Amino acid sequence: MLLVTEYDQLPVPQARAGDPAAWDVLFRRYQLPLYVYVFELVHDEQASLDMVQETFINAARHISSLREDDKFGGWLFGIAHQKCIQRWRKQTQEQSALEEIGAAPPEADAGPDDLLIRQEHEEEFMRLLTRLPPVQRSVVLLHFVEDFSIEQIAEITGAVAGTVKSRLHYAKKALRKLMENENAT
Amino acid sequence: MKTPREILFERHRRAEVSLDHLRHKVLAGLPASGSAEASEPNRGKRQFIRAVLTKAWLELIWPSRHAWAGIAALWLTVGAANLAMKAGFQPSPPIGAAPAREMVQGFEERRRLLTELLPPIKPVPPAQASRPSARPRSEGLPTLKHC
Repeated sequence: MLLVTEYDQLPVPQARAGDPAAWDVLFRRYQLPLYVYVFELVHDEQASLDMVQETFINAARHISSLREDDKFGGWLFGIAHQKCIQRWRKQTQEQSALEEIGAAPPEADAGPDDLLIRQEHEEEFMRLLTRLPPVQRSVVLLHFVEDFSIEQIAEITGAVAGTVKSRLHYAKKALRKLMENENAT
Repeated sequence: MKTPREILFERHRRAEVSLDHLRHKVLAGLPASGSAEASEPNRGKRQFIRAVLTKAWLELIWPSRHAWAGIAALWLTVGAANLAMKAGFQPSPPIGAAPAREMVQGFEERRRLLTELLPPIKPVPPAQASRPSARPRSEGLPTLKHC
């Protein structure tokens, strides 16, 4: 689980100054989470690698646009998220999938560890994750992979906090329900 | 029991080789430390100079390019002619450098030659100066006869 204090240790100021060693640390820290996030959204290995590479290049090029150093992770995921959206738009018009879910009063959000999965159910979990609509999948992945807060996910996805809360609530609920159904059968 | 994060990371762990490779590729493309910020003002200055030169070229030179080309050709011709003239010209010694004694001797010889060749000149008696009349000028005027 990502610790809050980790942000203080990330060499973002050095990276701003163009220190390649600092960039190496940052890229090493985020390469796998970014890849997981992108891959689970696009389901194409080569495209995911390309998008992670483009995200790194864009980050190095536009680091001056990052206002707060402690938001580096969210900012990086925001770049990757935009790349995923561009790809979705290019591939198909998934308007139905991108449509908003009706806002409902969500229950209190717990951390990503609240959903614990048995080893024998891992495959099911992955399959169920794939079956979620992209907007819900995106939110739940950001929640699972980096434990971003609702506000951070809202910034990354460009949605309002209420919508993110709602999406996360429905995604988790859907996952639980699907897993219960799978277990029941 | 595993968290979703653990499951996801384990599933994609094998991609780390490719990710390491692409990370090195991206790092190799990064500018050297400090050069990015240091080059910013220089780049801005270069862009400004380039913009000014381009504007000057488009607004001053290009519209009357034929005239500029003609003037340039003319100057080239003048320069070439100047060079050619300089190459064929033998510079005379400066006047101040001629010895003064030789010049004086030359003048003396010419004067002697002239006195030998020409007859002696008689002094001309000074012409009688016309004395101004004592009478008023009006009296000296011819009288008009009345018809």
